[in-house]
Amino acid sequence: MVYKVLLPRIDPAMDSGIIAEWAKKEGEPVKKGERLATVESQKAVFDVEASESGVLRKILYPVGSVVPINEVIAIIGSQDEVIPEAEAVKSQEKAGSPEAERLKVSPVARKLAEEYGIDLAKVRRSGPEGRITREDILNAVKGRGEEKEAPPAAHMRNVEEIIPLTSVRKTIAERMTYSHTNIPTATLMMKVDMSEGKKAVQRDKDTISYTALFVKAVATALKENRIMNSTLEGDEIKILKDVNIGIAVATERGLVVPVVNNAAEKSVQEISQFTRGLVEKAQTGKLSFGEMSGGTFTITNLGTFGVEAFMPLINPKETGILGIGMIEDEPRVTNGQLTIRPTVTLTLTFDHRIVDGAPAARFLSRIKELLESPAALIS
Amino acid sequence: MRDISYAEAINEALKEEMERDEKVILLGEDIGIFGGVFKVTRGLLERFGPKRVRDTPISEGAIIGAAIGAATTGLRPVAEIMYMDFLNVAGDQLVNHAPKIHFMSGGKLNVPMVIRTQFSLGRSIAGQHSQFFPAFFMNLPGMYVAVPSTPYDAKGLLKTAIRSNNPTLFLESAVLYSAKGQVPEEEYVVPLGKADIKKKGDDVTVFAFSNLVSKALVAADELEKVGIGAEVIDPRTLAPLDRTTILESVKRTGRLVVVEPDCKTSGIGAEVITMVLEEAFDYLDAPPVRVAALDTPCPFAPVLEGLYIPNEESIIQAVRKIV
Repeated sequence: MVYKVLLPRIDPAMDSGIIAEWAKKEGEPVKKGERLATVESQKAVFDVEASESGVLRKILYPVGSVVPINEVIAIIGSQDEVIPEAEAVKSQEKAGSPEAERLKVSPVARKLAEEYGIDLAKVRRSGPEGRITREDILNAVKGRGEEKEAPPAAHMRNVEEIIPLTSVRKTIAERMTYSHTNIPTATLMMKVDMSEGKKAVQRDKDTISYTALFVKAVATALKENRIMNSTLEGDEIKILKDVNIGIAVATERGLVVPVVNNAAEKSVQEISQFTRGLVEKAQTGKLSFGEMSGGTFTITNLGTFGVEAFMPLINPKETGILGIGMIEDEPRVTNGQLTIRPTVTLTLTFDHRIVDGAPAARFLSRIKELLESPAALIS
Repeated sequence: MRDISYAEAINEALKEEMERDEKVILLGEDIGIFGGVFKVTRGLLERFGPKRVRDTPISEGAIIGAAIGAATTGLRPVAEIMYMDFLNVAGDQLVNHAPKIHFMSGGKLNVPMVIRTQFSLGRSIAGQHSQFFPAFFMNLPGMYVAVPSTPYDAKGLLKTAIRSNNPTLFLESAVLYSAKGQVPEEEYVVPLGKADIKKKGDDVTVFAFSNLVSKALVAADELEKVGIGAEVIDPRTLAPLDRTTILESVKRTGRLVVVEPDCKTSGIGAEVITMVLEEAFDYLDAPPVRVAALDTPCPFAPVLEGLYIPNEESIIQAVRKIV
């Protein structure tokens, strides 16, 4: 019996994946459930397992190939069974791709896209059920006019290396362009005395991390300032029930954002343990889609690189993002006395369509207050 | 202009046409001495006499059969059937003869007849007195079907129908009889087959008729508050159907919601939407939606009947689904 191994869709936004690794060679025996290949999607890295036991007879896409979902990537069969030609399998499966995968395009949008030569795959899908509408096409046409080629360099430049965008990079590029183009932001900065926080972390190094303190403080402040935990959809601001904190983590592949769900309900110790696990997974590319979805607010920390303060871009669909700088001893005047205090600069960038400066400032000062007296957070 | 009711407007149309043309006669149950169960024909017997305003026995087949005979031999009868439900009793005369005589006589005979009737949907009088099934008559070539939504349209359309040489089914909504509206004092007529744009809008075309036009207008006002421009089109007659006005509107808005007080399956919406798909597919920006009565006999309990008939809220929801 010949079994076809298909590239699965692991998240709703996924339309293709890159084969990162083949764990088996052609001709090697495989057992049902064994790892066959590792695939990188726009958002995650995941394994494709053998659907049946047998011999991996044919690999249809080498490492590095970009493969659309539901495409046959390999064939499992018995040792000497006749297997179909690779090309025949590919085209056959394509023709039979399920209806659910169809791109939804309104008739007028399809007609306009044809007239203007717009690639439907690249157009925003703003209509109900993700349908591409007339407006989406007209916006794409408008955008095309503006998106002029970069001016030619004054002289020929010698290119040393060409790095194709990985899917993680492409996703970051799209989301950040969207954020920067569409979200009018304002930024607030505040210095926080971390004396007490530092003591707590030093006292319980193994169970309490700075990251966990920040996550807990932000989550607690979000619970009290619900407007910061919201999303703007059309004419409605939707206040979100859950407070899930995304933590921006730098990896070799690029930035990924694992999420701590219901962070306000977790203890700092729990969050510490949990985030250490998440960060490790992020760095080894093992995060599942579930571990990266559902965030309602993001924090990002560049303090470990010596950055004092920075203005991050909002993760689209969220209302704010908190940038955390380096914790550094600074001279401070307290009660008329010059003292030296470990200090951090927090930078809150927020969506000014949703919230104004004063409530955002109240939110930020609440974070400051919690971090400066962390006993309440830790207990 | 002055404000008069839908029932008064129909009464005026009958009176004016009877004065204008002595060939116009009325027949039906209780239309004379009693003035009609809805008082639409009040005062006409006194004014025009028993020869021209005839009370008939309770036999719908006889009423329509006699009207067909009178029409083919030179009169312009306006027959009243008390409830639309009872049209079914006169199925042979109504379906097999009235719309076919002109064609089957090779054009030698005409049937210049109007059948006035009312549907009582919304009056809590149960499944055998609340039916509204206009789609059935759109499937009868040769029959005109008028569905006025305002006193102005009711008067103007009825005058035109009486002067028309085609048999016309004139479907009045009983819940509208007391509704008032502006009607000119001077003579006017409304053509059959010409839709009226009751409200302009650019985002979605809302096709509504008869008693649901006013609900569609309320919905359109609500939608306007959230920035959605709904264009409310009242066809005024379902046959002939003013395809041009519907198509021009949908081509502009790209979206269509059909609001109909009849049952959804194989109803008016099924026809209007299919016509739009055939003629304007490439202009659609969203799937058309039907807001219709439920596919069940009309319930008697007022609360259930309220759920059965489309209302402002269901129209708003339908629009928001596609805009």
